[in-house]
Amino acid sequence: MNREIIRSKAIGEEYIRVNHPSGLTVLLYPTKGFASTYALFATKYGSIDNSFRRSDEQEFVTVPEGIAHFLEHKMFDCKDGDAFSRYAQTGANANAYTSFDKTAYLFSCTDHFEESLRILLEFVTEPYFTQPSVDKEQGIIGQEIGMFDDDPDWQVYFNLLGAMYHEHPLRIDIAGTVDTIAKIDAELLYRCYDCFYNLNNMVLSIAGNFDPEVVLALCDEILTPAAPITVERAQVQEPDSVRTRRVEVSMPVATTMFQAGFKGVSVDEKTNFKNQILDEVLAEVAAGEGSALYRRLYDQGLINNTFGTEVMCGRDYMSIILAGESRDPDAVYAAACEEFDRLKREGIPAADFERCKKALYGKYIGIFSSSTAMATLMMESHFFGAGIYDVLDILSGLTLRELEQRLHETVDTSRSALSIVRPAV
Amino acid sequence: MADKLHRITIGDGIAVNLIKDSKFKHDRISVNFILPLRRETATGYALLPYLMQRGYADCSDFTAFARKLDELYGASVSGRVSKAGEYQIVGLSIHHVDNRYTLNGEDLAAQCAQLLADIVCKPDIREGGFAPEVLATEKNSLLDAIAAEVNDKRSYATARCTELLFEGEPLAVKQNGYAEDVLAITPKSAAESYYTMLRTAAIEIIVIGNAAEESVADIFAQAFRGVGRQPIQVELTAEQKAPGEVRDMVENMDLTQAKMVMGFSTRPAESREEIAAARIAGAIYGASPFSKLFLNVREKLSLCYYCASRIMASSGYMLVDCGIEAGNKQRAQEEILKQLQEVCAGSFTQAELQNAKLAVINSLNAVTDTLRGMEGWLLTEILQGGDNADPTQEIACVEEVTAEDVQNYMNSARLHVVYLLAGESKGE
Repeated sequence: MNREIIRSKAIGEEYIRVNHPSGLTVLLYPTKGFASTYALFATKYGSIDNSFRRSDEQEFVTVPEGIAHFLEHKMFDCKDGDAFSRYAQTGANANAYTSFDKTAYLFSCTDHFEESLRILLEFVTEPYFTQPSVDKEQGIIGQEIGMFDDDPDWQVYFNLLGAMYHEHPLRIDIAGTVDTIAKIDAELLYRCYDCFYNLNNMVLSIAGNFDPEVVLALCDEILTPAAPITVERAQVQEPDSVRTRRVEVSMPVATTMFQAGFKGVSVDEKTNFKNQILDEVLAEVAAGEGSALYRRLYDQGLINNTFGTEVMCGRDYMSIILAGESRDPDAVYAAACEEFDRLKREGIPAADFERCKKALYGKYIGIFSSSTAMATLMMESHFFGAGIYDVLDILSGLTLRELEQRLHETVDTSRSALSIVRPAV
Repeated sequence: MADKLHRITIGDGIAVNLIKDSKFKHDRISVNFILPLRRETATGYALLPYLMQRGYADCSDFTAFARKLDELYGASVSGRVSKAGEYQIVGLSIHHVDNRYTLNGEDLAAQCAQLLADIVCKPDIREGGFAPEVLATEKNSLLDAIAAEVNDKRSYATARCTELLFEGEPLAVKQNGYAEDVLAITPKSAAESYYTMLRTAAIEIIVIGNAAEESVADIFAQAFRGVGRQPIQVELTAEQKAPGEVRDMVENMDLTQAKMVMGFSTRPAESREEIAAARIAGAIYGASPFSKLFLNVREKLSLCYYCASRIMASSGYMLVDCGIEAGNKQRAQEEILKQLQEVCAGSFTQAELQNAKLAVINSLNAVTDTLRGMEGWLLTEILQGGDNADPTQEIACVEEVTAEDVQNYMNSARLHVVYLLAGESKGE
């Protein structure tokens, strides 16, 4: 068992990284003074992984949209009941989620950590899918999809992705549609499980009030070495351009909502991880509360305090998104494009750079007070090939020159799009 | 670990609550103005945090203000309005990196405490009014927030059900206020609302983190010196609603999924023991993934993605809400009532009771793991007349809850309102 201690000078803390003989990477961050522990067992498999080939197979297979999320729901079924009823006996607060590129099973607890961890390790490594339970789940997920159909935040976001991306499966709702999930059966679930729930493709990330030795002993007991297979994902041929510059729908909302997306340049996983931090600084410089743009739009009554920025980042996609409510989203979008172009022409003022860098550093320090945020960031960093402290080192070492280079590399306002949800008349 | 609460009175009805805790890398200070919740004053008070978090007398330009916060390592100032029983709470807070974690050893704690004190005590009021252009912008922000209540269908439906449940009573008053009242606010009337708040609110200042020292209390004592005070006395009292006809209300909206909310009155919990019984009753009935509502309405009948109960124990009511196909309303309603009867009749096992306790204790233990959790806990505790910095006592009460206590509590539940938000012609 390969065991390494990773330290941070910046905050004077450390955590443990273990390459378990089963193939699983185990990240353990015990903290002092906190009552709770947060554990995540995650696989690098999400809604965008719907065309792939196993290393021991010849052909690529394409699976129905929404299957990763469906699989997440069905993992909770066990031979003898379901995982929730087992957790009920430990008091842990358990859940799971599926994103574009990850599926994570999690619990938080203040007592009975060992019992809860046993449940987590067991149910995620013991699939049990039957056709009747698959049929039943189609009703529940159908309702979940209906709920998101009515959610204007979700609609404005996915319409933006649909406008920005031509081919990339980011365009597709994580849960799929009622029609696509109707094509899912138990056999397909097993097939996806066998590909992606291989321990070599997974990570166990735990932070909070726990004893690392307990975790490692349980891993030794429960986990068996994974088959040495790898999965090749079908390459997406995504053009640099956006599919359309503008998309608008009506819904029962009271205020007009918008998201403007600037399709960025994706490099490789580890570089994207670093660039995500740089892009956050860029977004803050261009459109943060202290920016000239924010001030201008606010004074003109074009944005309100819901306005904010976000960076979307994955293994093969990067985007900066500005979102909020506005009576004239087109004007906000035009002003944002103009501001990015101006920054490219005139350069980023050094004072703005230092100020935004400091503000983000403060934000990232906050992560290390929360077991939830720590375990989540450890897991995410790992899937990008990085460590949790890298965010602090990247930020404190960032130079204005680097940021300006990134601005020129990634922001091209002709590769951007606007999504609007207007009140239905 | 956290030290116990150190409470210092710095003025008439103004207290500073210090909880020193070195495990966090941030510190948090909030100033909470506790005011009576009334239809005629709610909107005026609701606008104040919008105005106040945009700057203060010595730094009224909000871009300069935002930049100042960035320089303080992204310290964040936020204002919020909330409701606790028949009180409206206007809160302003600052959340900042602790001195130990700055890159160059800056003293942020004193600067941030002073900044919040200035925001609260020295707003940008000139010649008896807020600046007209700032007021106009922030009125729009509040109008947008009020209008946006409809965007989240689930919370909109529960808010509508609460309004119907307490029609004509303070509990029905909305914390964000009302659009028509926003329009009537003038620079002068906004300033008057501020001065009334400063003079009459019960003020609880909560300071949590490694920097929670008496020096912070001194900064606020200095800031509030000379403020003329006639504070209200806070006392949470509630009586259960008189029983009456069940009101059935359907409202139309173009939706894929209908939202049903059932509003029940319950016996208001007056002691820690009763609050504990309500917590356990809720966990068994509908507030956990092993509750009767989750297992039956969702898992067994597949009627919905969510079906949950929420109990406001001190105010004396419970809401059950679910997202369903409108055509399934009757079935869902019957099942929700049937499961309530099961709890009332004691049809739950010792294991269910034990599991509910484990889940509730788990969440209570976690309260002290976040700054916001601790702050929220302490504020509720103060409103209920207690002074415990952590839920130790509450946990002891939870452990003592019996099956009979659960039945007793749930037997007080009376259905008053069934509210359905659904696409046109989809209801009934």
